[in-house]
Amino acid sequence: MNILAPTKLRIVVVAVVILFLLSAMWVVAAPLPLWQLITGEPVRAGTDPLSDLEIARAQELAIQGRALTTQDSTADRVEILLVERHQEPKSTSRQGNWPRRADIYSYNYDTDMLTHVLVNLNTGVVEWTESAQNIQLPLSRYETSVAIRLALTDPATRAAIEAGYQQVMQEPLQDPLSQLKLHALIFRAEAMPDRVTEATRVCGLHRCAKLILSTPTDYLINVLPVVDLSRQQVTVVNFFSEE
Amino acid sequence: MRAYQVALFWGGLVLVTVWGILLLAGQTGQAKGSGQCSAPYYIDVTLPTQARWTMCWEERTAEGIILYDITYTPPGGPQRLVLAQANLAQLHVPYDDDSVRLNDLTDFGLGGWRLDRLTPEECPDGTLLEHEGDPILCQVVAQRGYAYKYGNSQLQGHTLTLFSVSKIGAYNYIVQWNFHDNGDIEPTMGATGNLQFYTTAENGEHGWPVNDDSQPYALSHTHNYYWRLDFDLVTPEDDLVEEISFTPAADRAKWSISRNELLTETGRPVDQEHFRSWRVKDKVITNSDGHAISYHLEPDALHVFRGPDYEPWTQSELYVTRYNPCEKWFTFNPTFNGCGESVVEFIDGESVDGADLVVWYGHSFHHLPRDEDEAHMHAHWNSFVISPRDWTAENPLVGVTPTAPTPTPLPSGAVVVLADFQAKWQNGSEVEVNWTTLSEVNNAYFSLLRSTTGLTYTEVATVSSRHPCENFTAITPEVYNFVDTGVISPTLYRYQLQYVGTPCNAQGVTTSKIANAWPGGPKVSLFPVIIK
Repeated sequence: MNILAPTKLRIVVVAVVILFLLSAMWVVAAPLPLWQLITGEPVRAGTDPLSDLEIARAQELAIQGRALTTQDSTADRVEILLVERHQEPKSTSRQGNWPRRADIYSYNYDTDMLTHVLVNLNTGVVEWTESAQNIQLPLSRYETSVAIRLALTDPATRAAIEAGYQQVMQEPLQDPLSQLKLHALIFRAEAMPDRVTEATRVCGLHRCAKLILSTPTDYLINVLPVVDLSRQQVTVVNFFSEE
Repeated sequence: MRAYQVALFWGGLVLVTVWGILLLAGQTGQAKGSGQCSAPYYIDVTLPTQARWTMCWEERTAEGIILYDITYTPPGGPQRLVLAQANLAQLHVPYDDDSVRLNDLTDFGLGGWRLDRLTPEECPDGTLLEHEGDPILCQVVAQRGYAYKYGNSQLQGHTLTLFSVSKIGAYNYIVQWNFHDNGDIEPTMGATGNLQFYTTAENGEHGWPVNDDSQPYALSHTHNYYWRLDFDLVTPEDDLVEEISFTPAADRAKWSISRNELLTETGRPVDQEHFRSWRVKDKVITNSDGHAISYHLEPDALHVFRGPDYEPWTQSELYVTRYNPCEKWFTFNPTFNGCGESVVEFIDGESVDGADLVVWYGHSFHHLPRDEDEAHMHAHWNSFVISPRDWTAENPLVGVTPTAPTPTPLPSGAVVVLADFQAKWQNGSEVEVNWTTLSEVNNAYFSLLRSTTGLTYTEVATVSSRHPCENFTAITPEVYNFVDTGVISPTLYRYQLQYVGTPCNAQGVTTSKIANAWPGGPKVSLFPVIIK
């Protein structure tokens, strides 16, 4: 007959119960991903920042899950701005143990939409996706270089920078990238509503960068360009002289 | 025993063993104590006066360094949780001529690539704590002078200090935390670097003359430092903020205390004439005298900044809100799901009586430049203190016999501080690996390792140090280069450096962070921005 003998049945039932209990322990304890344990990669837990490998894995999961783009926006200009450990709410963290989860923030310059994707690194599942406008995270290193390039290739801005350099240094500017210290920061109209003009009022909805330029000897070049990364153009050559 | 029973027995045993190992490994990753983090991010320091501090730290892009689960144990105990989280939450710098108003925490970000890699010289007698091979946090224990003195009885106090440095434009901000042995917590900001903005003589009313060129005036400006202090006195619940002030009698000869409980979310300005201060107290837990345990914030109101209407959050120094995980930054907070954009929007009438509450505190420094601010500015410091009030029934440091400070052991292996480490595919046939060192101590040579899986690494080259076995700190950083031709396109290769100190009588090797060589360019450029 196909029916198991009582002894066999007992053993099977006990095995099933043990398996169930162990599975429950696994879920509750939320231990680390197997790949970390097997490979001996630095073990990250709790509030530890993400490792470089975790960041790479989070990006791969978000890309595989097609969570960073909408169906029709694959042609759009999208950039990952930030991958960071998800800060668990206290209701979770006070329980003492929680899975490694990552926030991935990407920006679509065509729709001016910041997308936040939450991935679970333990399970590999994309758990949450949301998008919003008017949220501007700090500039990535790549965006900084783009903003600088846009400013230096804009003829009017380039001319203003060269004139400013000449005034300070009493010599012509030959090679901006080696002769200037360049800093870029996010600019939002909301931070200075009394000073913005028509050109910069859109900053905040658009992703805008302000550039601070000085000589290697730290003399300020009195030109403060505003670059609209959404429109890929300089919108104000010198914010200092805008009124 | 039948075959299937044997199989079940051994199978079950193996299963149980594997699960046990997995669960154990899951636990060993986390350091002991109240903190939830692994050993490299866990700080547990017992000062020579036997007071103990524990906490976890994390590097984050906007805030720089965040501290979690800060516990204080006075000599003789007990260990209690003070803060669930503590960090700078905005750095607002308006210039006096309204030409620039910076919000550095969200405009630049204090963490990530803005965090300075510290050298051993910057952290004397301390320990450099690393994230992914980058030394970004200095931990040091130092004397702080008298803890108390009475007649011939005295005790020299000690402090645990943690600091990081963020490069924001021409400024270098030192974000520092002092944890004193008497339980005082002192969040501190140092501003140094170079002056940022200058102006003409016609605009000189907004600055101070420091030069004789076309822009002789350095602009005055204010540094408004806003901190987020998520108090959890022992537990998240049962906390309450009490405002303490003093009122003079009509003849101003006598003063009387008044204690006002803040029951709903609110913002409160400083009031120096009435010695206004605030304490966070626990409604349940008392010391052995039966007094509620609390931490007390006495404001440091050197300068008081009140900005224009569009900066309504400058109207108060202290804000109390109910804990909400989406309320992270003082201003320009992410507004996903309708979360408030600034602290004034966080205040929406919720009760903070016995609730899990967050204290936001701001203080200001108006900087009038001077000639001595060039070439590099003196570090100018601002701090405030939160102190135990009735945490213990008496001074816990009295009667303590201090232990000798434990000297910090010298680094056992080679120590290298990298400015940069990159791997790039070129011509589709080889990978160029570049790295730049800011300092090298006891480093004989670099061992360059490569991996395709990120799991196991094998050596592909050794590159000699240009300063073998020296104590080298760069004036001009050293740039190293290696072209790896033993690669197959298109493959993602991961590279890692090892610093080998054995030939310099330094034991063992230390390992760098990882550089990824992505086929087709950097991974962060999902769809690269096209510049026309």
